[in-house]
Amino acid sequence: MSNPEFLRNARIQLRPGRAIAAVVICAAVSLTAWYYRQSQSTIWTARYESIEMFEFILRLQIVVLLIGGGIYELLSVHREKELNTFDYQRVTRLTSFELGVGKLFGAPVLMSFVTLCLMPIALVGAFQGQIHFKLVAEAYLILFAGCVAFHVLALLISMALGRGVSAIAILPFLILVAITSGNFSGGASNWMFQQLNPFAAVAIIDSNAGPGVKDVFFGFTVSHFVVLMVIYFLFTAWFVLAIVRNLKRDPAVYELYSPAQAFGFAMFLNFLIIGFFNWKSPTGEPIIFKGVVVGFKPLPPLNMERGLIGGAFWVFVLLGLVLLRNRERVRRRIRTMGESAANLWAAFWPAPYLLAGVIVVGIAVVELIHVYRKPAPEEWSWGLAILNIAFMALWVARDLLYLQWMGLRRSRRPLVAAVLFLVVFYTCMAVALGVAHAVFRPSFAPFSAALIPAGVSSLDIADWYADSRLWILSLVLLAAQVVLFALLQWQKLREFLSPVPAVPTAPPPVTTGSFIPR
Amino acid sequence: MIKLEQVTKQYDLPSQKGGELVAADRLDLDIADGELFGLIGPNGAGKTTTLKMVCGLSVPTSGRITVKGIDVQLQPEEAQRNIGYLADFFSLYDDLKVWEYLDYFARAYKMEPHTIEPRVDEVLRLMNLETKRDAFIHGLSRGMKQRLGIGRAIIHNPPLLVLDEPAAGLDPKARVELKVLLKDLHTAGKTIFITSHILSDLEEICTHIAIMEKGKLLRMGTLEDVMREGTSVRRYRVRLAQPGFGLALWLAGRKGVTGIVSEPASANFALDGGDPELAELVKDLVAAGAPVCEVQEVVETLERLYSRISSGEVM
Repeated sequence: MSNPEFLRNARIQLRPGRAIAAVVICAAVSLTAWYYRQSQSTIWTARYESIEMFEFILRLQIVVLLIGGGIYELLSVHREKELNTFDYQRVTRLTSFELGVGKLFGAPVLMSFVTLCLMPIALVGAFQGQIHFKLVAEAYLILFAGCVAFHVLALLISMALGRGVSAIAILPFLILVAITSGNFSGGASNWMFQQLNPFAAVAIIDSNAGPGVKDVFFGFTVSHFVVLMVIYFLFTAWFVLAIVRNLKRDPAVYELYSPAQAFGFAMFLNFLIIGFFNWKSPTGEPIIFKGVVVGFKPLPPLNMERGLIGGAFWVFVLLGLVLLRNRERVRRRIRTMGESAANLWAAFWPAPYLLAGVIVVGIAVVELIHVYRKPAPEEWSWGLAILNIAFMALWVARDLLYLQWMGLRRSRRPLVAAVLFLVVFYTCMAVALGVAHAVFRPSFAPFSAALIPAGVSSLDIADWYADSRLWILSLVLLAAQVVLFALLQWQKLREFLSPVPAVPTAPPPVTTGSFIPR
Repeated sequence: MIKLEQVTKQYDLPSQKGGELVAADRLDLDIADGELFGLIGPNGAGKTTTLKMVCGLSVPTSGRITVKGIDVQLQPEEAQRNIGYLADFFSLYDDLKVWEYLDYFARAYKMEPHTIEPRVDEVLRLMNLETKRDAFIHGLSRGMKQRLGIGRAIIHNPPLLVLDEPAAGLDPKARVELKVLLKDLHTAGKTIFITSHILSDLEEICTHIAIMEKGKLLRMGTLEDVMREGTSVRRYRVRLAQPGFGLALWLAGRKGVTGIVSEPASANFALDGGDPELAELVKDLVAAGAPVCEVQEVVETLERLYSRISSGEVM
């Protein structure tokens, strides 16, 4: 409460007029919900209607706090930058942590107030619905802890945004909320994990009379509430770390995480993905009995490996994006470290972290497949399993080395252009190779795999044994691309070593009269 | 108070323009306690970048900056407790009341809670804003907003004020008030590092100045030193009764004469020496047949000096 940034937001957002308006609106919503409940309930349905009312209010509170508050967070730092007020906050003695916490709880303070105003009617519903106190407490802990986690992410996005793009950032945030609203677990799912976002609070209440909502983590059944609390806490900690590292920094030298921290975060994400994976995932071939599909076989081990390493691919792409160095950072490194910051080893940045990460995750996946699935010899090949890992590691290294090289070009938004070129490359290659049937034809698939991942995804054990030399050649071609982009980056780094003439920043002033030099 | 050692800041220009923009080029600067130091230069000379680097808002590409001996990059929060900063744009929280705005920054600078309210009142009085205490900021005039901005910069009573174009956009009355305010703050012991386009204002209040262009410091020192252009050189203007005499050429062939700016019937030049050398020159000039009707010592203004320095006339 004594945090100046929180206090400032509270003073602006909770002026008497606005606070009274919020109270009046909440009172109207509460009375309407109460009236509806009274008009619908009979002596037999009164409890059910009360639970319904509680769940309705709870959903409303989640929407208000999660989405409304999230939008306020998305605008918080970004808007300050647009208004040129952020520099004044940066020169105060507030630490990044204090400023970040002030914004985290201050920016959505009106939404928090509205949520609190809806509490009385929600608690009446919970009481009359005879919902166990523990469930109500769990639901609200999920609501508040979950919203904090999502809000920290929104604040991080707001901090990292350039000028004039806040409206664009709202859409991905809403998509993220929508995606995480889905139940990842289910009858034929690869995951043993329920909803991730705070709407899980409603599912907790739904389980009032049941055994409770459960997840499976590395084969152990655990309460979804406990899992969510731990995950929210850990994600909040990771995002707060990025904010604390950068909030008061010069935006030109933002570095979300140190390389070791970024690597740790990527491994943490992979740990979660692997931990909640359904190792008996019934998403393989259909089981047909008398012409009717009665179920599905478990996913074949090699497909399981590809799926998990494919997930890791995206995590390491994110890691790579975090590790990319912009021109300012490269320039500063060369100024402080000299030529060693522009040698050939430096030109492989950020490949070492990416290669190491994919290989570690790949080995873990392969080991766990052996622990949980114990694959038969006819459905498993060590060579193919290693090939899958090697391809994935080199693809991610190649693409990120390309982005790093392109990102060092001198242009307004070099990285955005580089990503667009990459998307165009993948799209054109996928279409061209698909039309030519090069992806699935055994004689062409290895060459397509040197360009895009689709070729490897269809490789089975028989084809691997038949054409293993071609596949290894394809791997060498991919490695050559990695070296090529490293060399291109090296060339760019060398350019930083040679001083560039300064460009005049302003036309020289004009004097009147003629000047005669001596 | 402020020390810059070989400070460089480079930016990239978009690819179509090519090259890099050197906003600050190996700057060395030492501002002592109690100075009122003016930094002048054209738009894009690197003044704002330099000020931002001093405040820790922008990181130099290389070099070191200390404020009161504290490295701004290594201990930004410690350094910033000594700095009051005003940017070259109006940027206040319009939805706050005047006292709330100052209260916010007093808390943000971690002042003792019991000292905040008296200090807010004191600053309001100093800025002549007592009557606007409970007014919303969006209702203030531009001059009042600027005074409030300066109030924010001094709320924590820092020994150093860094002010970027504080007079920009102010009407003449507000500019006069601002000058008086800055003089008062300087008299009260503050070190002030200021930039302005209005050179006559700086000339009136600054004890030291530096002239900056294209990221380089062209000239620096006390106002008197800079104005005197170094040694015993003084500037004169000779006016002839009628054009026709090759005054500029005659002067150019004369020992001790430099920096000649000629017009059809007059010339402006610097002469190394005192009154005897001037008397000798005038005597010779008349003897050479020049219809001299007026000889006048040119009292240099900062504006003229800046103009000549930045055009390469004087280095």
